[in-house]
Amino acid sequence: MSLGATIFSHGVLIVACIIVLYPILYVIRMALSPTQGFTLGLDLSGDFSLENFSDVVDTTTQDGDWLFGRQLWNSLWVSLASTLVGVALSVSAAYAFSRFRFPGRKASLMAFLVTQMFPGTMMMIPLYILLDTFGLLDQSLGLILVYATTSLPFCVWMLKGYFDTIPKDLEEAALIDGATRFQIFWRVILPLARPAIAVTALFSFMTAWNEFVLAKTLMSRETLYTLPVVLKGYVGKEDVQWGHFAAGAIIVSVPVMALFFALQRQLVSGLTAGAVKG
Amino acid sequence: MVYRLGAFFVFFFVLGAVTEGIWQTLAQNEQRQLVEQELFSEIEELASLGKEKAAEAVRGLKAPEEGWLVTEPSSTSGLASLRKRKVFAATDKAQEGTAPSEEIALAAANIKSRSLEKKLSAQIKETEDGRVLLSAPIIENDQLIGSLLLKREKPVSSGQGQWTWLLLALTLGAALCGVLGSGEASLVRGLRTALGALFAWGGALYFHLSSPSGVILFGAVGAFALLASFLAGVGTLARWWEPIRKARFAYGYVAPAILGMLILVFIPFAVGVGLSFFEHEFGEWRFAGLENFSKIMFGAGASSLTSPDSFYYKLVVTLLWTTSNVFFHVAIGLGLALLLNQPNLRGKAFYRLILILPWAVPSYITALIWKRMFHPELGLVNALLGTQGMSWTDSFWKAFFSNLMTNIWLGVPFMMVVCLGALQSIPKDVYEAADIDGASSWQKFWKITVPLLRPALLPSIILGMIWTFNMFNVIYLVSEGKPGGATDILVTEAYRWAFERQERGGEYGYAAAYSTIIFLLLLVYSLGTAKVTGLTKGAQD
Repeated sequence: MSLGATIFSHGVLIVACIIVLYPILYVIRMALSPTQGFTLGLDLSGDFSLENFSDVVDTTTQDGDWLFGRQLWNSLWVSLASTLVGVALSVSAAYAFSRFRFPGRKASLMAFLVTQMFPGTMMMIPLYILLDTFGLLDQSLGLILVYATTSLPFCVWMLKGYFDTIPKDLEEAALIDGATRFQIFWRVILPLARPAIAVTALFSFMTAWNEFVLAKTLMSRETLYTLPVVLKGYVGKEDVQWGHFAAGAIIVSVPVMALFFALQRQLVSGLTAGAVKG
Repeated sequence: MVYRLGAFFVFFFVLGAVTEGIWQTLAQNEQRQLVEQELFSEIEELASLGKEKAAEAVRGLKAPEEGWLVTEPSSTSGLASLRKRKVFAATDKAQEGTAPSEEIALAAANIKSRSLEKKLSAQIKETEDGRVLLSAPIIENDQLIGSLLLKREKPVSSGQGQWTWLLLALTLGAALCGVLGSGEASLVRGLRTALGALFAWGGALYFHLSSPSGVILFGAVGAFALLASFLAGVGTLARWWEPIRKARFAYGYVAPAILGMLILVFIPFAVGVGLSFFEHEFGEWRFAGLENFSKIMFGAGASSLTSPDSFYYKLVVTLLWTTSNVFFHVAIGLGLALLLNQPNLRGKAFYRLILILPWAVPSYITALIWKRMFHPELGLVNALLGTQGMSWTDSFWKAFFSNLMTNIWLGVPFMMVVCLGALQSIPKDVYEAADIDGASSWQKFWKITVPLLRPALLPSIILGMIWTFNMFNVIYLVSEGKPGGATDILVTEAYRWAFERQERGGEYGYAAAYSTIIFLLLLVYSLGTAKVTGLTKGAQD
């Protein structure tokens, strides 16, 4: 590579990194400043304090119970449970779509694809009414079910693409040896599909963890809020508590970022496996 | 034989039970509406009494009295507090003396049924420091109201309905004669089966002759049952059933997912589409046919392309938004991917790590941070450009630019990752062959890279276009649609109709129609480009 090309490449990449990092550092700075955010730009002078973090974490209910802990637990529980349910459903469905031919297969696949196009605003009111009818408002179960089905289409399509790349000979050999379909699914296919499943799980988890519109609509008591709703609470129409918001934003983003980095190689390969095929 | 018998039995049983269930719900709703009307008039009377008592209490009190609960005002805007605000507004007006007390009663009564019980038993008003006092009910002791509330909760079910499905199951014998009789599927057997079904459903119809909706419901379902049994007898259904029976294992695998999607995605979607044929006003739904659609597409403000309220204006803005975003996402994403794909570049992993970061940040957080950065006095952008005090929301192009900048920050990582993956799948030999032939970098890019990238990129581009078309968070939070709704795209407009234009309690029907149009546009677009993008190929093979 020529010197000119090297300098150009590094130059552009560094500029891009600065553009990416600046807002993030800005948030960190706001979180660490004791005022409610009248910082202009990345001002490294001035005080640093962990006050905002402790304010956010120390919220309590009217009865004096630890509120933030409760809300953190809500987010964790809802995200994990919906990931489990979503992944379980999409893995089995994707396997069937990939390996079996049955009436309604094509229609179902297209239907899954089409659901991506539904505007979210359209679904809020019917979902509210539906969950109300079943008494699932103000219940984490309602939220879990909705999240699980929201990420289904993408997960099914991605997993199906991945399953399509696994050669059928493996299963045929196992079939000849007398294994049942289910044994093949459980013992042979699932372990092979681990990277794709990791990506699917990460995507489902992220979707549930970051979702706030539905969480706010379907839950009305603050002890049931998930973290994104709490975060939005710091941003009122006139009165915005930027320091608290920034601290909350960091707390909300850190787990996802950590997972992201841990699984980033699988993420890249998982995304492109489907892309190359499709 | 037994199998077929069982199948018929189950089919008719379920059909009858479901129809009966629907029927009961409809009848109960009718009853409930009658009771509610009585309830409203009773409350009207009492509300005028109650208003005086409430005014007395507010004048005399500084602190909450015994029997009063205090709550903090909520600044979030879920559906629940939107309803609350309506009641506050009506109560305020009544206290000023500018609105009759009926408005309080009606406002309270028009709230959706689940909170009707709660709201009915409370008088609501605000103290001077903005807290809300909920009083101990003064109308809970009223006996007429109490009995009406009870009646509303337990409407009487309509008579002999519950025997209907029992009758169906019993008279099934007659239908089964048709099926059991001869082993051969034939026209005669079909007629015999149909006759048995006719007998069963005639009985059900007889019990519901008293009401026109009952006749329609049972008549329609009965006709369907008749047809189904005829076809079964004649043997058509058997032909359809065979491949399903063969694939029953597959159904076991997909059933949970499909069931979940059906209940939580398709049914709400169908309800959403259905709502677009209705008009909503304070809890009342009026069937409006295609009125909403014609208002959107041909209505008063619609034809003028320059008025921001027009659907077509919003459509153009949305298209502009989508195309400009996708263009920049792909251009920048591909550019960065090309740079990162160079074999001798050092620190690749480090760069990639950092450049992926925006994808991990939730979009609403990003939107709020960038909104802050575009603040006229305290924002970073103005500080860097030296244009302090300049507002970014007072002109269309400035507001549009702020949205665009934010969404580019948000969306480039995804596109970059996809491009990287796609680039890595292009075999190196092709480039080497081109080098031997003396191709320039420019030629290599346009003649090799782009065509080979296309199949891998197009699905992601299509997906990205759909996501951008429906991107609510950035538009709603960064420019907030300013100036004057000009930068609103179709989804934010639909949201505003449903949740912000509350003059009639929320234009849910109109918003639903808006959303249906959005969906249809996207559907037509995706299907139209399906061949090119290979969108449907995945389903084909």
